[in-house]
Amino acid sequence: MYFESVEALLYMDGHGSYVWFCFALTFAVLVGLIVQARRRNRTARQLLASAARRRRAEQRSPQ
Amino acid sequence: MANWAWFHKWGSPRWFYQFSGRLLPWLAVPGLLLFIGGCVWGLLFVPPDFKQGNSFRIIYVHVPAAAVAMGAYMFMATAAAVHLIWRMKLAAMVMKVVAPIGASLTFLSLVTGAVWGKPTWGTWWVWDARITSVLILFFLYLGIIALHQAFENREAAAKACAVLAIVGAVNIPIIYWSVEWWYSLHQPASIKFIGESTIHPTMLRPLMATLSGMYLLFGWLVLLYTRAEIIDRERNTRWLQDMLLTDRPADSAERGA
Repeated sequence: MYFESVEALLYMDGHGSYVWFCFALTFAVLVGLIVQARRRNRTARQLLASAARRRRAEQRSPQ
Repeated sequence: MANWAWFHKWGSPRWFYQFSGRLLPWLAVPGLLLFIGGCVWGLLFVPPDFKQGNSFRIIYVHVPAAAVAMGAYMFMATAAAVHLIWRMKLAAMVMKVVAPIGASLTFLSLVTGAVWGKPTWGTWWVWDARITSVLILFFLYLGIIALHQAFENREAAAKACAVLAIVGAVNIPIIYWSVEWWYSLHQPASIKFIGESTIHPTMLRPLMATLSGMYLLFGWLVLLYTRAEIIDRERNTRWLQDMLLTDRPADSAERGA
């Protein structure tokens, strides 16, 4: 490791807050995109399942 | 006579859904490893820049976000052209899902750039050609998202967005060469396709890791969102219901992700 201590790593000669903020924001945005994608997938699958149920119900009792 | 079978195959949501499912882990695993590994490498093991000190480490998230934001736009504009020319449904879905991902990455590049600017240039913001053209890129993405939501009709929305995406593509070469044409605060590119890069190999290697990682993660996200879009649009089709709901009753399928 380049830094001699954890404090030095966090402080980064005064640039720590800028650097850590950028990395934290990037990871937050990426995690947000992944979570959102999974949530959309789940919602779409629920709608698919209810569409399939409807179709089966219609097949069982044709009007 | 060219064989266009592959093109029609790619345009089929059914084939794409099956193929992309197999591709997902090959993008997610190396993408996450390269991106996280590159970040740790760049934060902990690379010596600071002799002029900028430690603030230069922001490069490891700023450059991948900015580069992939631009690449994503070109990808979206290509999908838009494919949709307009061949009326390919899948291309319209891809175009729609890329916009929010691209907007997020552009937002990241603007904010990380501003935060990098403060300790380096002494200012958060400057209306120079590079930064302004990236801001325009952000507004183009937002415009495409808004235009999509403005239409009731899905076909009309896709057509309008495709035209905007293609027209907006003129901004991409402007962003790319802005640092050469109007030299101001933002430095020119350090990584060059032609000629020697002006960044030391010890600093370049982690950047290559985060950059390639970000491209893979982008590909992964595009597949994930496109798959959700396919399920959403094709939920009344027999093939999709059979594929996703076989071997289990419909009720328990709701829990699967």
